[in-house]
Amino acid sequence: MVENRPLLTLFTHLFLMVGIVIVVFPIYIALVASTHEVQDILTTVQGWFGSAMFENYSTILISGKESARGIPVWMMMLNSLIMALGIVIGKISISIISAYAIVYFRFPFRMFFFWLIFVTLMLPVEVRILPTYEVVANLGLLNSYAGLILPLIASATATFLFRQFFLTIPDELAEAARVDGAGPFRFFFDILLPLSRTNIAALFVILFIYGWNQYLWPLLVTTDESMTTIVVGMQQMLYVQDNIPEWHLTMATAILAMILPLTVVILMQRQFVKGLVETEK
Amino acid sequence: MATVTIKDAVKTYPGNVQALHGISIEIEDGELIVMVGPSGCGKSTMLRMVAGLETVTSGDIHINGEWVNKKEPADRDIAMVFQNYALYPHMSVYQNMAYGLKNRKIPKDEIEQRVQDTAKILELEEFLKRKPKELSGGQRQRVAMGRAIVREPKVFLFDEPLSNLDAKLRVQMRLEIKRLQDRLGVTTIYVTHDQVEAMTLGHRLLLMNEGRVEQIGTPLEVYEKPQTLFVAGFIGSPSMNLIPVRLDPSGNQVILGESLPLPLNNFENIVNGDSSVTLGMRPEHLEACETENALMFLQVELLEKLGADTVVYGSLDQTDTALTVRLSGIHPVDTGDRLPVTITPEHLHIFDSDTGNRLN
Repeated sequence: MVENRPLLTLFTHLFLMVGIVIVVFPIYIALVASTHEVQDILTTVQGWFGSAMFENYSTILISGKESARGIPVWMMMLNSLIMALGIVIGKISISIISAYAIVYFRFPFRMFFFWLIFVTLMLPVEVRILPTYEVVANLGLLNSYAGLILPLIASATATFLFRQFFLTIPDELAEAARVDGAGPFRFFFDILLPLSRTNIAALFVILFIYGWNQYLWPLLVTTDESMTTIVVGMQQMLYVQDNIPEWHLTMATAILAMILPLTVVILMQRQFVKGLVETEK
Repeated sequence: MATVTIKDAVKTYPGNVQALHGISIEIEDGELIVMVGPSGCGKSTMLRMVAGLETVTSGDIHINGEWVNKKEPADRDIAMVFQNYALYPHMSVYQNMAYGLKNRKIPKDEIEQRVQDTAKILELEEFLKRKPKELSGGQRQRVAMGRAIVREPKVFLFDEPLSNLDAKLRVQMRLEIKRLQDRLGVTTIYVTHDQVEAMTLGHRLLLMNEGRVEQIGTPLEVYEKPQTLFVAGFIGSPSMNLIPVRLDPSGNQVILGESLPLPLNNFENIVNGDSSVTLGMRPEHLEACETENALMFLQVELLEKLGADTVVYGSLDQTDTALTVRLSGIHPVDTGDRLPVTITPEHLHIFDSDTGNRLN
């Protein structure tokens, strides 16, 4: 929209600023709290940075918080990273391949399979969590990365997204590739995959955050401390019996938990927006 | 180079929709055949069957004597230019042209050589590193042709390649395709709905309508002796005047409308049961003349003064039969005039009104 109304501009900017303040304020409080010593923040909310930043962060990163069974946060972060990346890569590869099959190949019950995939959209992880747990337990995958990742890989949403994208690619492109002697594999790797780059980037961001923020499933499948993910670990820090709640360490963990998803968003922002907005191919 | 033989090609789509009712043609080595017809006549389907992009329901297609019905497009040694060009958007012009060669495992230095040579022919050298979206329509069109030429195939297939270009570029590219085909001498099948393209490009035309062949012939044969009513109406602009008339039993005149006799006399050998025929006269063959020589009179209703020609629309005197006349040059005629016109007998076309077949 090209409009020149100074008052409107002023108003929209004010509105945005208020929004930003509302969003940023809790994060700011967490950040500030993570830099104080425990006695400073037990009674009041601190408004400005303290002096214990380095100390707090090195404590939780290296030796962990005792009430959370002393697991160093770097390990939790590593676990979360492996889980998130596993989910992202697994989801994207499986859904792009199934979308390819559904759009470009004619096989019996093609639409039936599409609808089958589509229907699973209505069944989120929480609904099928008990049978899934049973399956994973029977396979002996409890307390393993495979157990964390595999059940979360199947994705109707991503399959659907890729299907819609593939449908916008003109048929002539596939035909030109056939005339040019590209078989199904060649066409997929030489043409479809490069064209899907921005879509993959957009999905990567969304799914990375989805994977990183998984809570219920990791809580069920991992009982071993060394497998704790950061979201689960953080929750465990909040329950302390007969002890002072160490808010400064919990807040530091929260800030650390935000860093990786934030980095992913910032690094892939341009691709991400392009992937969601771009229509012309 | 190669010949292409199509014999009784039939295409039936699921749901028993028959798109082609048995098309046959023998295309000689180095010939440019234009398949032309209105949209939905099956010409593109026929082309795609030759390319291998559509299955053949029945009939046979041979390329250079080899039966190719069941072969993959890549194994038929054909190259196709699509209407929307179908360039790979993420590849540079060079990569677009080299892709087919790369898939055929041709050595890198030979690919380089062939792409450079082709780029030179098409004046694309300076664009080799660009992506398709950085090119104009005409340049994209040339890349699409380059992708076909670089393969050095047995047969070129063009599917309405010029219909996405503006009028001026279309004329220019038309000439370029013609020149290129003359120079390379590759057997070519060209599909278009544009009769000017068809007339100017084709060595022979294959006119199609509703999945059937109406006529096969050189552009001039098709123009001078259209074999069916459809061809008569399709080729030529403005299109031929087609007027239902009755043949007088004496054979030396036709009767137009109720009782307007036209003394025309080269129909001696026409035998038609109920004597109801359609008379075809091309607008450009009707001439203005002196009143005493006039065969008929035209009540002028509308004029198009094009400079080179004057197109006169009107109706025949005393009837409401519409008639179009194209007079060469600028003609002093005005709306409401009664224009005397005549035509030489060799320019008359007579068709059976029921079957649409040519009678003379």
